[in-house]
Amino acid sequence: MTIHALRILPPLSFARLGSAAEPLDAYTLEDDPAHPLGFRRIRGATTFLVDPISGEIAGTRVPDHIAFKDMDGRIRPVAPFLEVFAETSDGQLEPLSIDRLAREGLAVSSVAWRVEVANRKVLRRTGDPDDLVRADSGWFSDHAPHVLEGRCAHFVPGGAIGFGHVRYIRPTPAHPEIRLRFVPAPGLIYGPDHPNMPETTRLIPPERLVYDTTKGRWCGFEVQQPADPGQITPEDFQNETMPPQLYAILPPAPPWLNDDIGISRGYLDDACDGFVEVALTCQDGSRLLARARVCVGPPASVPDSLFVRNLADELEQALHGPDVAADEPFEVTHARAADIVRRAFETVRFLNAAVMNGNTVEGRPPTSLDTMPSGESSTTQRAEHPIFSENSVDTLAILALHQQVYTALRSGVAPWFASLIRQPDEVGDYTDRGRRKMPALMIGADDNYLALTRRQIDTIRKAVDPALFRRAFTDGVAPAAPQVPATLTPRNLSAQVHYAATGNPASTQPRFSVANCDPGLEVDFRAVWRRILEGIVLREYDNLVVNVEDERLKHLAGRRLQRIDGTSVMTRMMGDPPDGSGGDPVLLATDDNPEALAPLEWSNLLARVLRDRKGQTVRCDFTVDAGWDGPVAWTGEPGSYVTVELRVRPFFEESTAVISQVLAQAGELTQGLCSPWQNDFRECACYYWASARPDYVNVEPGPDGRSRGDFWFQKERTGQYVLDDYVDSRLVNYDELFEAWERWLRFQVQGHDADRSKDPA
Amino acid sequence: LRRKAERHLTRDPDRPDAGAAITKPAEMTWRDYLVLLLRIGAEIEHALMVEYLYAAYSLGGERVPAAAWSTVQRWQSTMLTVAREEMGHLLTVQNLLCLLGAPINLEREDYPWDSRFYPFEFTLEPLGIDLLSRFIFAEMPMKMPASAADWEIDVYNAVAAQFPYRPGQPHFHHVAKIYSEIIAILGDASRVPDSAFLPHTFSQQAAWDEWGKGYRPPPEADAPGQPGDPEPPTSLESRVAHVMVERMGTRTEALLALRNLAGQGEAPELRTASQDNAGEPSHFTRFAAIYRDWNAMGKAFAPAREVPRNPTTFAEAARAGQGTFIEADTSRRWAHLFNLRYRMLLTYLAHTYRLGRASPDREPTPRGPAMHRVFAEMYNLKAIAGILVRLPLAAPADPRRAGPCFEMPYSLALPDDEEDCWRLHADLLASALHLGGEILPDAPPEGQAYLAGLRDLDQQAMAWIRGLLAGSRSRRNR
Repeated sequence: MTIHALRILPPLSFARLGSAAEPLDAYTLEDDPAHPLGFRRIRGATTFLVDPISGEIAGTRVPDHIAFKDMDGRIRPVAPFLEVFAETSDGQLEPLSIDRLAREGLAVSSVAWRVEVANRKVLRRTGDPDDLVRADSGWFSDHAPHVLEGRCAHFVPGGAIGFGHVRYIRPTPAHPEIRLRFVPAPGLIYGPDHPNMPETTRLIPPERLVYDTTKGRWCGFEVQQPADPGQITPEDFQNETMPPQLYAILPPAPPWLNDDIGISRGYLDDACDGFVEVALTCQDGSRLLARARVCVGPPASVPDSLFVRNLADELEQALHGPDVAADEPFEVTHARAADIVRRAFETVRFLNAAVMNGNTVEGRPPTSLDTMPSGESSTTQRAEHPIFSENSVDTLAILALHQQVYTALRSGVAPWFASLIRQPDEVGDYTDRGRRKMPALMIGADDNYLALTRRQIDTIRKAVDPALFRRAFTDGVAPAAPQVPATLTPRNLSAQVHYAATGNPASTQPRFSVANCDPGLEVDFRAVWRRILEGIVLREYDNLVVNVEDERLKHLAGRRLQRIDGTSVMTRMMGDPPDGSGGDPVLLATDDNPEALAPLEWSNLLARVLRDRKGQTVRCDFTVDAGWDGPVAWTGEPGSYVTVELRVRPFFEESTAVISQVLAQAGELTQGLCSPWQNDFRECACYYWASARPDYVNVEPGPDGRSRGDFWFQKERTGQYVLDDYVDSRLVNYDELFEAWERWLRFQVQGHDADRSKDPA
Repeated sequence: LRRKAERHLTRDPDRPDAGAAITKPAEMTWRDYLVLLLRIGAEIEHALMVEYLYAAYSLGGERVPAAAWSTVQRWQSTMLTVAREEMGHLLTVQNLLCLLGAPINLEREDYPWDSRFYPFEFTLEPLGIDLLSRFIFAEMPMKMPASAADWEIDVYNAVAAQFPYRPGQPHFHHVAKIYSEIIAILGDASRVPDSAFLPHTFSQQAAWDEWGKGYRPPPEADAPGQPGDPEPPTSLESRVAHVMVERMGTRTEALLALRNLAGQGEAPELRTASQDNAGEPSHFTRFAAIYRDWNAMGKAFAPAREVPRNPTTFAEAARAGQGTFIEADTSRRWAHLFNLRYRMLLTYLAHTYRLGRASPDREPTPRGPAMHRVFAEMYNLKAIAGILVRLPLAAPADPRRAGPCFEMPYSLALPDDEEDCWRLHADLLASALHLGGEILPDAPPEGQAYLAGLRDLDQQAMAWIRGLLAGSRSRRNR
């Protein structure tokens, strides 16, 4: 069979920063059948030992124990291998190897690689194209390390950010497969060369002061608040991210506690994202090309837990649509529904439920703490009140309840709680009934209460249907469950997304990336929707048309997209009537938002459009006027909107599971994240990503029936949770994190601090 | 209790003169008599809830043709919805007992016979058209309102004709009757003075905030298929449950709570405007819709598995004609586990009323976890029932299946001392761990998966209780 196409698998890999010399060993996660409610077990897997000189795999080992830090306390980077597969003329996918090449009369040198990565975080804020930091390895076929030097027009001469290196692993008879390794950067912070701002440069050694302050405006940059709300310019709004600022600022921080003043220190980081390309030159001179994405992010601090809504859920929805296929075997749907519940309790475990509920804790009013109810109060300008009854919320109790639901599901009963799951268009429902829907206490990509993906919700709903009608047990033996075909084929894009390349830690997979991107930890997934409608560029977090790519659509710049295919892209925030009557909900209008409008996240909003109208035009209704200064309510009145037919771009590149390059260029998947990323770990509280950026650790039952444990960010472990007010000296502060993040980000295994090795020098 | 209690009843509420003035036993005050009626009411709500659950769990199985799956699934959803709402009724009646300074009542006799208020003989039965008729009769209004749909009136007449009143003979009763009497007494200040109401108990009563678990339709009418409706389009009988758990501090609030409760169940004349505005179907209407559908499908339609009438783990009871003995050892051990978890549910529930709801620092107290344990045990009952109805009743080749027994424990009385209450919970957990360990090796795969998780949960709960007891001892010794 001849090769007629190539694939790089996995189509999306995550590398993770760390300064240890030796990358993290490979591991998988597995269940503990004896303790199904316990943590997933981390089991060492085949780990490749790459010879630093030859670039070949000199040996393998299967570690008994996974050490996430080295003996010096440095975090071991996650350096994924990417494998090349050949799609053959008989519709199979098989690993490309020395033998396979030989059968085609080709040599190992017929394969060439190119890697392009970028960091657009500064560009995303300043809007200045010369703030792009980009590295391109160029094509290479050798087996030496190729350093990814990130260059930027605004850097000092010779200045660069090292994004790590890549290496074409030399195939050998023992390891004949064609693969590349991406070794990320150590996690360094870079800064400005500003001679008069010692506070911005104090933490950074001179060789990393690369940003030329005479060329660019990143150092000292501040999102300009419009002096006159009626005179808002496009520039004001294109600079703003959601949440705003999200970069290291001159003290005091955070900005929202300090008059919203956010003057940039001019910091950059060595995270990035981009593409790995492979080319095979055939005997006839033709070239087969394939591409995959790689993203570089922070370490997975809780390696044995998965977030309730992760990037794999998003990709599944983009691949297969919002609905579970009617012919999917019930047992498969049921198992996936149970897994969602399991991830829910894995998330709850690391969340101090009493604090996140908006309780008064230790006599301190909840308004002084950063929680979802507090954020809701700020948005709606109404008094804060807890989500659930204050007396009933404790982490261990809530955890046990979730575990009980999971346990009941394991008995084969159908999920009975579909009506208690928050629907994507209910995220603005701030009534008590709405706030208590699941998942509770957490934030979604639209800054409202988190909803699952539509496909996850449908999974839970569909798991109900035929459960009642299963056969009786005979002699204690249940009917065998049909197995899901997990075969790797060119058409099975799900299998490709979930493909675990040999030698990789589990944290390289999309299921380890959080998906309620506001803005996210590994990627800001909202960015992929910006160009989903051909010709216009949407803002990642709401319906503003920030740019147009088609001159004929120039008139749409600055307008608001109000409906797509007849579906509204906004919802209204509603709450219980303040008189406590329990009557009809009232609009939570404020002076700034008189219509109480709230954007809906693109991922769930577009799921049906993407499935049904991909490649086709779709009816889009826009406001007739520019809407730079805020959302506009849909009235449907003639003359209040204009309709334009726009084509829906395919989400993936043709016949692959690679997110289309047209939708997100190198650097765009990470451009909305903090600069540097460490800032996010300090500023994002636990209602964002409890099982990825944990809150509550070392949790044990206390003598008063309540849980006790530590806040992940408290320096000394005492078992006494320190409330996060951003200023308590018992907590890790910004500068400590910038300076020694590897020391302070403590891995959690089995819910406890995993690595007590000495701090990095 | 109920039979003891009913010895004090002075008249048969079904008699044609039932509308005459209410009389009470001479040895009781009106307040005392009201408490008696409320305790009977609590038992009725408890019994109905269990009967509805059993009927719901019986539904399904491989005998149901695929074409009828969605119908049977909808029926089960209806039964469970009504059972959930009955749970709310049970808690509301407990709240009213609290308001009157009376002890709560979670008791229920296993198989009581004739009674003057009890709707019908307590029976755990797979759902059949006759059982459904009894449910409808129990939830039937005393008189159909003029606004009733024609099909509701047809069902009303058809079912009422099945249960004619024959003086001097055992007969069935409408649940509405006891509530109409309770409301009449409660509303009469000359019988029950204002001083009988203890408003300070308000904060100790169960609240929807904690117990409702979100089971409440949105305030606006939840018309099926309306945008934003969390449920797929449904028929009226399977709309989202409206679990009402009403707290009350005054006579007026108590009357309103009872009107809401009765209005949701069986008494259209007591329905509040908000219930009507919300288009919320009563239990009668929900059941009547099943009856209507069933007639359309033919009365021979069998939607349930071959589960027994009144399953029991007591061979003696079966020999005495009081149930069907679960002969298969494995199945019977699962039934014991079910009974144990049912006891744990009721014990935790009783304990939540004991534990003070209010906490001065507004922080979590042990009451929260105890309350969550009640829900956890509900989920356990659901899971174990789902396994039991698939396990054999007797020999493996026998097509008859087992079923959940809902056998009441020997006592629900809580120890006087708080620490002893937690020791009781620990005892029950220890029994559950032991029993689960016995069952696990022979369990079907889904049962094994479930029991492994349950063991983890019970061990966690045990560690939590031990911590609590150690803390309590430590505080006492200070």
